[in-house]
Amino acid sequence: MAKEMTLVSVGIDVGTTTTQLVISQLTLVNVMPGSQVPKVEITHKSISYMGKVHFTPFEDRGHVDGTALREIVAKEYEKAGVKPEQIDTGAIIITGETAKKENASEIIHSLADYAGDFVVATAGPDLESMIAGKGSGAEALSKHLHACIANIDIGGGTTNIAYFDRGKCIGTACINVGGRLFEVDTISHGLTYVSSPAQKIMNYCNPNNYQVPNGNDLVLIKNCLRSMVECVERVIFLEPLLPQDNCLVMTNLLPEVKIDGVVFSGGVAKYIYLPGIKEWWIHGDVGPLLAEAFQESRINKSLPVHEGAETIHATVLGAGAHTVNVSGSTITVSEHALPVRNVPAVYPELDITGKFSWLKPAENYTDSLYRTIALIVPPLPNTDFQTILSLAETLACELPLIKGEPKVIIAQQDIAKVLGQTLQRLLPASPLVCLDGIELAFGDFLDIAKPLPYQDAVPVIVKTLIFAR
Amino acid sequence: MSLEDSVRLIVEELLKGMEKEKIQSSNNKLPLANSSIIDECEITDLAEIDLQRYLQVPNPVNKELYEEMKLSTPARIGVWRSGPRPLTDTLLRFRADHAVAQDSVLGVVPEEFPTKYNMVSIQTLCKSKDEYLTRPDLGRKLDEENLEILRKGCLKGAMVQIIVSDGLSSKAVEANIPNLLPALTQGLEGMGVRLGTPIFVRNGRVAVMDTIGEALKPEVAVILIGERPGLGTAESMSAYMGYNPRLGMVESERTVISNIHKGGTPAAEAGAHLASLIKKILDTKASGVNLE
Repeated sequence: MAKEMTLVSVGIDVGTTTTQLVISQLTLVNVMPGSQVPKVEITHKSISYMGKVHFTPFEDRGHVDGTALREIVAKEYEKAGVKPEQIDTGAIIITGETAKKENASEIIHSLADYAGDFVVATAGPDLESMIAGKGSGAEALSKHLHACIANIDIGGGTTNIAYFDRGKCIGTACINVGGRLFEVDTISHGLTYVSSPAQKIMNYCNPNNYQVPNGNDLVLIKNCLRSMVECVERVIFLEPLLPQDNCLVMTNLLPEVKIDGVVFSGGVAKYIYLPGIKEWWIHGDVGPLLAEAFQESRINKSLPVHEGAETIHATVLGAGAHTVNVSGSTITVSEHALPVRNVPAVYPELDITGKFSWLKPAENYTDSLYRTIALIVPPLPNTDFQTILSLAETLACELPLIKGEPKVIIAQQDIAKVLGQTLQRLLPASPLVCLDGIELAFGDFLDIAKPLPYQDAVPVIVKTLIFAR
Repeated sequence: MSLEDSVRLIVEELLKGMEKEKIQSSNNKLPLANSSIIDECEITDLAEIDLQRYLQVPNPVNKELYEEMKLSTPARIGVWRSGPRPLTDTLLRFRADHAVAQDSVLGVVPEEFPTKYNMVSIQTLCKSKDEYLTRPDLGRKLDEENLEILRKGCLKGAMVQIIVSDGLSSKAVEANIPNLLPALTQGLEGMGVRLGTPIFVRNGRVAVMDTIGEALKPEVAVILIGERPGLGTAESMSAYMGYNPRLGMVESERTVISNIHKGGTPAAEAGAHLASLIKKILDTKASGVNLE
């Protein structure tokens, strides 16, 4: 039982500016003492290969170059000495401005298929914020300090904020502030491209003069960046937003709490921690200038700033190592029922008699797109055998009416084994997957991999797929 | 004089003293109009308070963190103090929990309990709780009369023989068996396992399974037995499993799952887990270290 297992996990972050790939090893161990019911957890995450930072390839301003992107992944796999078949799990996340491209969804799914059997495509500003905070070490820091720490991940297109209160993510925000919203010529240092959110801020900072006279770019850029950072300040310090902020704030789900410190991550963070770069144009964008604006901001001056474990690699590390869960070891899985992919999580309704019913909510997923759906069992008042028996009887009535196989049931309490065995008795012919210990939110999708050898545990990847408009 | 008797004497002595004080104090207070003698029914049972949610430190600097620390362990942390001593509350609760643990050891599983779960009820050579506690060897043996009950009332040569015993906690049996037994039975039957007649053993030790094994020759025996109670819980149960149970089998041949209680592995889930574990023992024809 004490056998250790490792999973090879890949993380790929396709961002506004850069694309990165990291391969990590996840160690799974039974954490319970020998005489107790086993419980498998991921105990250690180590990076086995850290890829180069590539520029994200684009066909044009509206399209990601899928072929070039695939080549980057192929080359990095070759350098790392792995084949897609050897990748057990992982996630690709498309972030920032890139998620807004017209072909983002299509590209990311085909890349996920190429990258490995169990590599999932993920997107969404809230997920991105959370993943960056996990990868940067802000989550671990908040746990260690028993404090509320904000992770501010400043990338090329967006600034992603996540609050971690004692190791738990309590809220996220995504603001259209990034180092590559303006692009400059590395020789003349003049503006070559102004993205649409940046243009709006520029109009605000410079209302009378759309045509910028040459040479004045730097002052204008600095004004715009200051005004952008002020918007981030207002979000963090819970101040009322000004009219010009509305075009920048994409999502804001931050709770009204006082934070005890901040961690900066993302490509721009490097220049916040190591200020004083003279050649600010070096990347052909305004990242270093944005870092300067953050340095002078109230965030940097009035809050304790901690250094995280990672800056530019935060999101890619988070994607590779922090998206996999393990359910086990007391679960029920019929033989050959797994793997399954893209399974939507369906919450039940309470009917008049106080019983759960999944029939109505399941009707939203009758699309042939979904092979099956996962029925979520919310916390029960107790885990007595009688309670589980009556739950199983309800499920046994409803499951045959719900399309798809295997039948997937995810419980929040530790009841998957007894519930599964009861269902196997009531519905002996249906292939069944009954798991517990997985936290899910409405609208999540699941990938469930094959059970691990030696242990009755299965890796589960919860994904949230929201593409920015 | 046995320990139990001396404890009883001390308690009686104390109660007498308290009774006297009560009369005196109520006499003293009688002239006061608003005096109230606390109705005994109004006193909340100390043992009912959830210690992990009970914050005794007045005006904590960081209440949330304090709560989190309390919730992270059943240990008695953050209990505050009065000078260098614990608060009366803390001390009384400590004693109350100790009393619950003692009750659990000395308590008896109700007479009708085995019948309710269709178990054949037998008793080891221990005739009393005192003998049970002082003579572990007798808790492993059965006399001819009890062996006869087994031979008459139980199926011989079953694949799995389920045994339930009070062991060191009668409360563990009462609290867990109603949820564990049906889950275990359902799980095993679902896998096509032929079960023997379940047996209830009064004053039993783990190795009574060896004696029963000799009499009934099951392939596997599992004994569900109350664990020595602690101050955290008095309802914890263990399951010991042995392949080919027989006299002289060594302890390393037993597989054990412990900590079956509300705060550990819930009884129903544990029953289901035991079912798969027993199936594994049947399939590999080995238990204990031989199973690993």
